[in-house]
Amino acid sequence: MNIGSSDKTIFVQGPYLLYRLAMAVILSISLIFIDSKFSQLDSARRFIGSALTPIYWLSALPENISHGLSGLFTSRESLQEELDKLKSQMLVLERKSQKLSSVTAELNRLRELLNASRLLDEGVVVTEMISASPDPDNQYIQINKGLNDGVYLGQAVLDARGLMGQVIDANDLSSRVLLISDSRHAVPVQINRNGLRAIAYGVGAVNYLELGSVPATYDIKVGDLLVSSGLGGRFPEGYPVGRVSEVIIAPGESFAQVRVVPEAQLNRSKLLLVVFKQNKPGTSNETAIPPQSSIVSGGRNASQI
Amino acid sequence: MQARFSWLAVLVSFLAAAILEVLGLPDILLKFRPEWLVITLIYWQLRYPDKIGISTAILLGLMMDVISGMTFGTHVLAYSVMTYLVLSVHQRLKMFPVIQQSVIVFFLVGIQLMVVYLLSMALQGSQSGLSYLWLAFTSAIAWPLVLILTDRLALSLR
Repeated sequence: MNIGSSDKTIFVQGPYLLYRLAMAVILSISLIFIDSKFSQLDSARRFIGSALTPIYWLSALPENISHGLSGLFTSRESLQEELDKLKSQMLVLERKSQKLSSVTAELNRLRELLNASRLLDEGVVVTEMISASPDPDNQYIQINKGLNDGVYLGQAVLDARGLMGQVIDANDLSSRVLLISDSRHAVPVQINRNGLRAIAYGVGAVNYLELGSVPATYDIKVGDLLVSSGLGGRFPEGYPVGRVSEVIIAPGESFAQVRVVPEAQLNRSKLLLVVFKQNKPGTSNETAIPPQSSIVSGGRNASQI
Repeated sequence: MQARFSWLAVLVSFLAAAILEVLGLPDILLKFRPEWLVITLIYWQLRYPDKIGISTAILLGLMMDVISGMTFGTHVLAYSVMTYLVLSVHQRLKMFPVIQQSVIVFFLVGIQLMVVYLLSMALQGSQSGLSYLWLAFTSAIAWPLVLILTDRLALSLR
């Protein structure tokens, strides 16, 4: 198969090509240098990211169409069944929330008595995941809410069951969420049962996290629920992070090895919640997260504990 | 059957490749997703080496840096090095039968991925071993497909 031959093409070889390569190499090395040391390129990244939104939208299109079609052909019985199920579920949840509102009010009163800085109840916005990272070593997802919807860097993202991750990069229409399972991520947590604090590190696997520096004498058991402790100022307090699945105490080691299964369905959830902290004037000592803190300092500043 | 060069065909094929690149897939398939954008780039470089060169590689590299969330410049460097290799052997590569082209595509994509992964290891400290060679392998398998489909596209959009 003789393709694309024209006599001009001979001259793409030779010294010109080498010069152009040298220019490209210089350009990319300076880009790498500038992007890793300074923040001037963030607006360029945001601009390109916004321009790429149609690609994400188109890539989600087949799934949306099939979802729409399956909705079109669902039988009346199964819809009725689902409706009944949801109604009964709603009753149960309503009863719980009735109790919860009185408990929250009481808790806030008690916190006021104690002069505590923050009140409960953050606002949430429902968002949809539009794509996952193509690279298993960088565990990102892309969500369809961006700066225009008020999303800010460092914001916590939840699914129906627990903490998913935090926003690390936002453009006007969509933003990128680093999952808690990424190997560069850490969450400050506490054990729900007794309030002991720890830090849950991602290890790059979707199905477990590890707790760092847990003394072998710590009161921690398999099945303990870990909730976010709110220390470090990035994640709101009290959202479930995971359940302890394994505690290995090796004789002679001063630290126990603890594995945690995330509560959130990191690789399955499609509908997510973005949490807005309500910074009521005078009631909060938490200022906005500095927009330029990097992922590592953002996640790992839990070491302030 | 020499199709005239049309920017429309180039744009459409790169758009399709970018969509395939961000398409949501089950985790197990992500490790074997061919580098669609890269092989589409190789295709156009072989067809029109005087039009699609290092500048196109730089633009696509910037786009891929944003899609993958890596440091700006990572893919720019990888794509331009690969483009240099493609353009310096393009005359010979064009004459090869498809299977032999696939083997060369394996090495080209492998080198490109090696640059990306070495840089991301140095800059972001990610550990990935040699698993990226699977991506080069599936890209080599996908090469004949891209060849046929993009040929069709170029003919219908000329």
